[in-house]
Amino acid sequence: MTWLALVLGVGVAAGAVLLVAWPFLREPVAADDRLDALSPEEERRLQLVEERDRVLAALKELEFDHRTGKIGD
Amino acid sequence: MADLGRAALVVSLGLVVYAFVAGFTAALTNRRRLAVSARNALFSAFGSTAIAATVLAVALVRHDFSFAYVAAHTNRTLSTPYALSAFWGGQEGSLLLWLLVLTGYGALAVALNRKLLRDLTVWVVPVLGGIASFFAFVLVAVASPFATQTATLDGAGLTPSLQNPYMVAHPPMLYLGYVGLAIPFAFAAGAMLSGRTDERWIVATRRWTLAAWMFLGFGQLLGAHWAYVEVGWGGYYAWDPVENAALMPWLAATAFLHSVMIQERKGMLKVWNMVLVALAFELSIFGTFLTRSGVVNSIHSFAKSPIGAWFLAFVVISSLFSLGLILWRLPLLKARTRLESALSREAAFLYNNLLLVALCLTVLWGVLFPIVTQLVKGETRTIGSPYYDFFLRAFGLPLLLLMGIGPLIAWRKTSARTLVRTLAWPGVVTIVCGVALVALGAGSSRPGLIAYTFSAFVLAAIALELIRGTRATGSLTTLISRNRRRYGGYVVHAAIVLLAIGVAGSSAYGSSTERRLTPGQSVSIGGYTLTLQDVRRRHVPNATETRAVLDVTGGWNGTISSGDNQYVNPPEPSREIGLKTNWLRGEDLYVIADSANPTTKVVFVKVLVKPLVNLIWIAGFVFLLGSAIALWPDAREQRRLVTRLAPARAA
Repeated sequence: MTWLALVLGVGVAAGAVLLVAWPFLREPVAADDRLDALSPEEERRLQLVEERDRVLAALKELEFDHRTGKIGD
Repeated sequence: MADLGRAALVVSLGLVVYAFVAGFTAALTNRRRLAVSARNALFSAFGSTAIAATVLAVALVRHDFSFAYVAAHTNRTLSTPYALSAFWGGQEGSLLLWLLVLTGYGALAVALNRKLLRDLTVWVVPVLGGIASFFAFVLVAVASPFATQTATLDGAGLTPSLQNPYMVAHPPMLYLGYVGLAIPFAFAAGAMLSGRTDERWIVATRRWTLAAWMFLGFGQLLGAHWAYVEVGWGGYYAWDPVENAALMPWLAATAFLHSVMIQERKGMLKVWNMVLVALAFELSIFGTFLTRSGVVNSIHSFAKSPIGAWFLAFVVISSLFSLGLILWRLPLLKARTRLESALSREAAFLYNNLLLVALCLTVLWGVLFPIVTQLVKGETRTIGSPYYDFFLRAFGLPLLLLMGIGPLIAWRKTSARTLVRTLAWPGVVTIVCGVALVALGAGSSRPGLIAYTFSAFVLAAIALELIRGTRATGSLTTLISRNRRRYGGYVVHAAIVLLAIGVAGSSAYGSSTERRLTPGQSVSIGGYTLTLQDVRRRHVPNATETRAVLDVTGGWNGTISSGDNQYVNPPEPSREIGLKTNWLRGEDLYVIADSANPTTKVVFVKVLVKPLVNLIWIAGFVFLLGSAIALWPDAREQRRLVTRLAPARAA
């Protein structure tokens, strides 16, 4: 049983090591190893889109509140 | 096979430490392959932890007493479900379950968000790795479930009170809740570390928070029902420190679920939300510290051990980490807008938050008080139910009222005139209910009467919201499907109302009496007359059962029996209550028989009549329904998120 446990344990460890090392095995020399961070323009765009979605959601809420009588004309 | 379990845990520890160190290095130095490698380590950690968990589960089912844990928590008489429930019946198994759920949740949350929120998940991986490293270290170095011994013929068995179907589900449900709170915490920390404190971390973790909150809430109700039917003192919640340990993070998470809606709509309360998400997580770890350390007296004292110090150290370090992050990122967390009116939906959310956090901190102070007095005065002073009951009424009743007012008022601002018009119908319903309740005698308890009338107000407000919304959209299903979170939330509010009615009914309007009885003698209470028929004792496998048998007449006709079981292995007693649910009268007849003597035929009985107590358990199912509606995937929301983020990724 100890041998089986040992074999299984080594198998688990080997599988884990393989998975962890996989990005380096698949791409030993990366053309570009940088994380694709957002550019300032993209960040600004995201902020604006977020703001737009918030305003649209607020307008929808406002319209729904009006239809359900929570706010007057 | 213990060797395999140990090896798998060591592998898990190595992987989560790697995810922590390599993840931070990758995020700091902007290295893509290292970040993917760290992420894969987190995924693999779930696999190796699952292997360790399988080894323990197999050992429990096979009664392998060469495992010290199996010998300490099971015996051969246990059926397979109870043998498996010993997985979380002891400390080492509980910690393994914690690590399993944490790595599983973490791997899934990162996998689901790795494409859309790549810049965030790069930081989330090391945070989750750091949390998992602590649990893996404790499991490997301090409290291993894989310690071995010379196999004994039989084990010590599972504490009798834990041999209950509720105990098969209650602890894992709580763990799913406790551990689930680590996910929003990790994403919040990741957002602050990456400097991307926009709403994306909230959108990504909304369902995780909701699911964790649902499990924690339902788990507590399961625990309350277990206490009611198994512990047998006549109640369901005793403000025990370990019960409070689950309540506190739930209250903090409830506040977070509400305040996060203000951030989404108004861009406000960013700091507050970070504080709440960190508070909920820290309280979940603190809860484990309370359960496991034995630092305070609790009915859960079977779980005492020296690992408390490790947990305390982890709570302190992670709290300082959270606080430091929030202070560092304060400039990014500034609100863009201000509260426009004290009469608005967002103001109602804010009041709700203040009350929830006040209640949470009050409970925390009650839990800490014995520790503080021990440190300051050298003597342990405990705080009893009156303290908690007072603050539950002081903060809980206004909260109940706000549940009715909040949904009826508009965002931004509501004029006093519109508010009066909106509240008119629920107000009329409330007054009529209040008068009717007083006429029916409910005025005997002022808190009970207030709770009932406020409950009527909330239910009327929910009904009004549904009627108006259905009129506006054309159908109820369209209404709910257009905003599942809101209407799921209303169903949860209805569950809280049922809970409030159940708690008020059973505590404010319940009755009890105690009497020494011999055969033929009777005791009367609440329209029931109980006459002692006999006191019997019989031997069954692994226990001696003693029962007082009582004939019941009046509100219900039949026989009820109560007494105790004295178990052989483990040699512990267990109180066995007599319980009859009278659905017609909406109440429970609850009998506790103490010191039943089959020779002298004398028994001391305590009889309780508990009105509406079953609404508490029904509330649990309504709570689940509401949570499920709110959790249901929303394809439109997902599409919106993808279109919002996709062009940025493609660019």
